[in-house]
Amino acid sequence: MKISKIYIDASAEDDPLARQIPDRLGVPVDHIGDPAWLYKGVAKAPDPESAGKSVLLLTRNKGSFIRNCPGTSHYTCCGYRILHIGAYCSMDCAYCILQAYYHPPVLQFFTNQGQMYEELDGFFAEGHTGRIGTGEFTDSLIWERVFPIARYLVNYFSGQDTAILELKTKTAAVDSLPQTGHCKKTIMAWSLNTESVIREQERSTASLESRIAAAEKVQANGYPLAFHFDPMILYPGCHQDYAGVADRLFSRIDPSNIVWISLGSFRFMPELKEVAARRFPDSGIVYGEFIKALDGKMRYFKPLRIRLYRSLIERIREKAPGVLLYFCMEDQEVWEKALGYTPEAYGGLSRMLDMRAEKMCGLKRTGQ
Amino acid sequence: MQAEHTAIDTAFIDLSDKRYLFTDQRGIDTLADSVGRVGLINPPILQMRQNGDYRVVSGFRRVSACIRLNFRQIPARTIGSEADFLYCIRIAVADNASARALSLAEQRRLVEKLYDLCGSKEAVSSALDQIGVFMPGELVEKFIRISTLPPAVQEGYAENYISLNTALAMESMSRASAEAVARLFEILRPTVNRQKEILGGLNDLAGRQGITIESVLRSREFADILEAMDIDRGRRMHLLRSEIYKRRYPALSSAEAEFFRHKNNLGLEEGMDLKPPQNFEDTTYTVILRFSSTRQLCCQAETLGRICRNPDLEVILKREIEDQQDLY
Ligand code: SF4
Repeated sequence: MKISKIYIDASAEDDPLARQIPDRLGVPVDHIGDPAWLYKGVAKAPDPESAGKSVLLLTRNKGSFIRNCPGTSHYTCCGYRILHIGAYCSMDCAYCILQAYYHPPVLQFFTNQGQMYEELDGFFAEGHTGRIGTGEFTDSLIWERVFPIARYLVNYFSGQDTAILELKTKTAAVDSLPQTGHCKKTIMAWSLNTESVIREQERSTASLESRIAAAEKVQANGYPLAFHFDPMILYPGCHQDYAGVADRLFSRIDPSNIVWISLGSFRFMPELKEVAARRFPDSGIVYGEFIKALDGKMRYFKPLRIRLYRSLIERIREKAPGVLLYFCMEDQEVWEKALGYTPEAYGGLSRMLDMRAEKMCGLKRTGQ
Repeated sequence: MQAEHTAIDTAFIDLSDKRYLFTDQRGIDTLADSVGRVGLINPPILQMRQNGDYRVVSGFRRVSACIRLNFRQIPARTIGSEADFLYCIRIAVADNASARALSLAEQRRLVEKLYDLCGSKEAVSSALDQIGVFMPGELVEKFIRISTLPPAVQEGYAENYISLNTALAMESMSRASAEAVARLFEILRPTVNRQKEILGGLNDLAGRQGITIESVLRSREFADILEAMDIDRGRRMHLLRSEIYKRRYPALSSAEAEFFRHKNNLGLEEGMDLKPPQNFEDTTYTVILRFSSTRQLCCQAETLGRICRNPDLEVILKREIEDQQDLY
């Protein structure tokens, strides 16, 4: 998807990025007093979720740049923090929650980055081991053409040793990343899925081959790696397919460079169903065997989730026994039945991941 | 209104010309009875056609009652053939609305007629204003959308066995699927909530299998339920809903069946029950004891002790239902 127009919110007009980005992209620019006007226009489009991908709103982040990941009750959260650099995405996944999260979703990039670096400094100064990622409200690497924020952040994180940055992506856009000097304080992470899910559910994303090739490339530059099998989707033959992805991954990537691998099955707010069914009529993913879970989200019937996890875990353990595996938002029963233990045995999930980051990325614990 | 009061020969009134008919056509027995006793108090309004005979503008039931009573001539108010559609429909609306409020179905038919004439929502709204009918734009739009649905759905809506929202939810379906659902609703006459549930279930099943709703309903199991005329409607509705649920949630429904099989082996006494967590997502089960005497409670306590040693309870709590599934 291509950005056809840039809108600059009045509050962002004086920020240098509001001038630099239009120069880089060379597309028409419109200055708007109130973004509500833009939202209204996008909402009126026949396919608002697509319309929101073709415009870019340059605006200020009016809240905090660093936020706690919105984990839900009843399921084990990993204590992640989100670095909120912008919102929405130029790729188009059938399951993308951002389609239903914003009303309507509009591609936006925050221009008040001075405030972001101040917040990061404050966070580093606290001295807690931190795991921060930019890939929750957007994809971490889609912005490089707009503004090489990932490159700047890699350099910024390299100058401290209390927190790691996780750049999570479905692209293969790693060329702008510094080849050296990252000091292992950035983990390069890819969301992985089966060929068939990528083909049918993830429009405009990089192929599995390209993602693994990109991971191989940054591995050569010494970046620590992570992989997220999330969202895992059930379909006939999926167990074999996911195991096949693990085979391909470990044929190219050295497990000793992997900080962690997470697993999560497709889950969604009920509101997504209508949007995904409308925008992706051939996708079929919202018609899986979902039940309303304890946090109000739709999840696969639990035994199906456990079975799906077990088969992939078995294959990963065969190929990479030492890699840390964890679940994103699952309960104790799933941990126990699929992984054979619960995070409580190791001081909780957050602690488990912090320790892993400390060990593999050379973090120092000072404030805890 | 420029109308002449005159006596018209009933042989010259064409009741099949329904250009201005939008009112509910209830039976005419009571009306004929009254006309027979006291005569026609409020004469119908007729419009002369180019060929010299008449169409009814307002008073279809009154004319029908007179014909049934073999009246050769009836008193009528007549409008000239040059009067346009909007003028006549305004007269028809005024004539009816002066006596009672228009029903929802009448309002819909009125919108449909105006839409045929004007072709746009805005024009219909302004025509409604002109003839003195207030209707929110949203309702006008919904009625227009209904008028574009397959006739079977429109009929279901007109006959009240398909709700307005259900009918509109059928807009995105293929014609064949909408007709198949309309037929199903005609046979089973579900309540509005059930309509929503059935439609949602069928939609999910179709999406799941990548086929149309019509194909889902053509499968043997559904066809058998619909054709089982010897089974009463309530039972068929129950069978249909169970079949949809079983197919929509194959693993969950088989886990539920498994749970009930083991629960039956526990030997629960009267007044005792064991409830699984909702959708088996949580791991907490609930025992319910209902008792009215200490003796009954003591018996239940003893039974509880036995249940705790029952291997079926072990199986229930182990929740190893996943291994019995071979779905993916
Ligand atoms: S890559 Fe991520 S953010 Fe982008 S559309 Fe897909 S799920 Fe949404």
